Amino acid sequence: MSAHFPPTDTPSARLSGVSLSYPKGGEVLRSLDWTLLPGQVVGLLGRNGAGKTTLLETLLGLREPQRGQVTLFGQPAAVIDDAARARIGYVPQSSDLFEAFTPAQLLAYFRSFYPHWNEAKADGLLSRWDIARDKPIRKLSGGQQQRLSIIRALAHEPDLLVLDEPVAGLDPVGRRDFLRELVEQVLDRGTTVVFSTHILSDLERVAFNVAFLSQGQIALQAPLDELLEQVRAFTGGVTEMAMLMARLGAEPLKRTPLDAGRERVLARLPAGTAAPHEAEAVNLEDLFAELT
Amino acid sequence: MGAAFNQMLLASWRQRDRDAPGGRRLLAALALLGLGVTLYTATGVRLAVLAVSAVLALAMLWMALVGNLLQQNHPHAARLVPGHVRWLREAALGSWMLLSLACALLLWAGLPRLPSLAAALLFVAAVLVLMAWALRNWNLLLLLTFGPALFFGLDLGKRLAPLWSALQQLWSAQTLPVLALCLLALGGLVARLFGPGDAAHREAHARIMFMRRIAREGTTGKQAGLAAFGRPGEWLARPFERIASAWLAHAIGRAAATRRSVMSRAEIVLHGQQHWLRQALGVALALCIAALSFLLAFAIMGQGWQDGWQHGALGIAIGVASAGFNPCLALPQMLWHSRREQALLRLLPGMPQGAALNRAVGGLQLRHGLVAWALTSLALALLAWVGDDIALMCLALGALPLSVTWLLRAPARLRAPMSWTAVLPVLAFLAMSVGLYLLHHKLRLSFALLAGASLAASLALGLWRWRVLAAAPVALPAGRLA
Repeated sequence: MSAHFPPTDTPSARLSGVSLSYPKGGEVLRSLDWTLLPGQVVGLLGRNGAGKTTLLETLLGLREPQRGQVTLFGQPAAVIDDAARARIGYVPQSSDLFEAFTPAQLLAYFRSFYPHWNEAKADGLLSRWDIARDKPIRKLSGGQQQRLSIIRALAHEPDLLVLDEPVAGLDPVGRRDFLRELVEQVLDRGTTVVFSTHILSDLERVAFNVAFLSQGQIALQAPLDELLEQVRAFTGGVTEMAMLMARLGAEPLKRTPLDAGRERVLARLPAGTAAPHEAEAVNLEDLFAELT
Repeated sequence: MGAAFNQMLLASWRQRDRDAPGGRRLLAALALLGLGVTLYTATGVRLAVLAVSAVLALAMLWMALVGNLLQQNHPHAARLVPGHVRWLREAALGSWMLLSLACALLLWAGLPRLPSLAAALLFVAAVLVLMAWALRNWNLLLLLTFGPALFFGLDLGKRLAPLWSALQQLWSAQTLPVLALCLLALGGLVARLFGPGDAAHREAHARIMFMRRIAREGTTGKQAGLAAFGRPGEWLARPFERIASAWLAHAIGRAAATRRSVMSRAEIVLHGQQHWLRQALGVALALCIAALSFLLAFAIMGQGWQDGWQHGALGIAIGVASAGFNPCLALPQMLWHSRREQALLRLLPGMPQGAALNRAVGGLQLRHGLVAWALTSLALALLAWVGDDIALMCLALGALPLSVTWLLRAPARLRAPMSWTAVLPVLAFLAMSVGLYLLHHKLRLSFALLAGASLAASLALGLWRWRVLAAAPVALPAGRLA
């Protein structure tokens, strides 16, 4: 039985004040704070090159930040014990891995490390997703390699599932199958899931939370429904906008200066506050464009 | 049009590899040093050495130019960009004519024994065309490799003597027309290097790109394996793959929650095509082929075994040392190539963490290197005994300190391997071995003293690197801090 049952308050992952730079590059993460609670499903959004992969790798302890702390299941991410590692599933961005193995060999290889392995689930997914067991992985298509990578990450039934652009190489049917599997995993086991993607329609179907990564920080994280309900765009004079924000008790998320002393303000209204009729509703794509 | 030529010809310079210029400068400095030493020692043939060196440099320039022009000859561009193929052909033809003439003049000026400038020109022009076609069709390299053996083996010199004599007469009687005709035919071959974007061109281009990728990866330590060469490669590799699969099944079947078992399984992924089993199989196959070749050579030449061993001991020893030591020097590069898989290995239960992981990875590499060194040294000792030349063991003594230092580098800081990073340790190994040989022969230092010094240096370097490695950032994924 997973450590998520009975429910625990210990975050699955926590990053506090994390800063990370590459040796020959600029700062990718800047005093970043982020917490993933048990059972949360979080879609991580960010522009190309924003540092999503770096953030996910840092979260898993695969990169050492220059400042700040990263914990996984309450343990320092750099030295987590075997029990904690058995609770983590990871699908990296590149799926063309272990090319010399066949799918059967790959799964047998990983099974040899884990104390728990759902053989029936792995076999079932291999059959359902039409992946030849004994064909070298280098001969599988990109989408099949991606699916195999997902099966490998799901087979030991992790409590924390980290997926870096998991649907990028999949066709619409493959994406639908994957999302269905993901939802089952979350509903059945209360798995914490964090995944980065650029396909916003997929995110709308499964992510209960979205996190926007911008300028090395999580600019905003909130349940998607709440965001779509509470975030509105306002346009008007600067003074008029300041007064309106104060009157509504709204939290400005982004200000964009316009001509003639006017500005466009993206703001989050307090829960239960009715949006004024002049406010403009926004969708996830607008939020992505404005907040990343 | 002139601008288009410039763009095409300058592309090879603009697209040059800009990473790690230090390594290339070092190799260039070594080449210049070699040239300087040769000029200093070979006082009587300085002009010839200079001329041949310049010709070699121009031939390399031709290879770079034509290689890049072939790369630019993408089937899509050939079909969609107006005039693209024509410009490529004209750029290649212009370069070929210019370089052929320059090379022929240099050879003619530097080598007084050459029959004539016309003969030199025809010879150089033909060689440059052959080199260009070898870039497009790698099978031609097989012709170059086995051609001389076939020529002498089938005694073609004697059999084709009448034809050769007739051609010589024709050449003497009609030198200029024959030269013009041959150059015209060769020019046609240069033009035919470039495809018009049809199906055959697409296939040829895909083959060139594939072989280039294999070659590029090979120079940086990533061996594609025979299976990457299509069905014939797969067929040839099948026995190797079966043995490797059996080992994988064995390692998985005996899996236990011990560090030894975990690292044994991890090693299969960490070293990939350079795993000790694959290396051992490769070396065993190479030795079998070499032994068969020697057997055939001895049988054909009717030379005595003892005589053959004694005369060929040095060459055989260099071959054995290269086969035994060089693959181990590629292990750090292989770590870099498997770095993406290592992210998943790091998260596996049982995998050592922190400094323990550094020691485990270092231990794997060191064990691999030392076992290979011991086995190769044994083979070299046998050769030294048969050939009655203890100096052959300098190859083993030169390799030991280098292997220990090279294999215990901090993986997290490994840089992306370049072709020079593969060449450098081999050059260093040869330099060390030659240095020890000279100390033994010229300064009369005893072999026991040299062996003691090599072992002591290896021990000291090994201890130093081991401490540095233990204190270094976590080893895997490799190369993330470079």
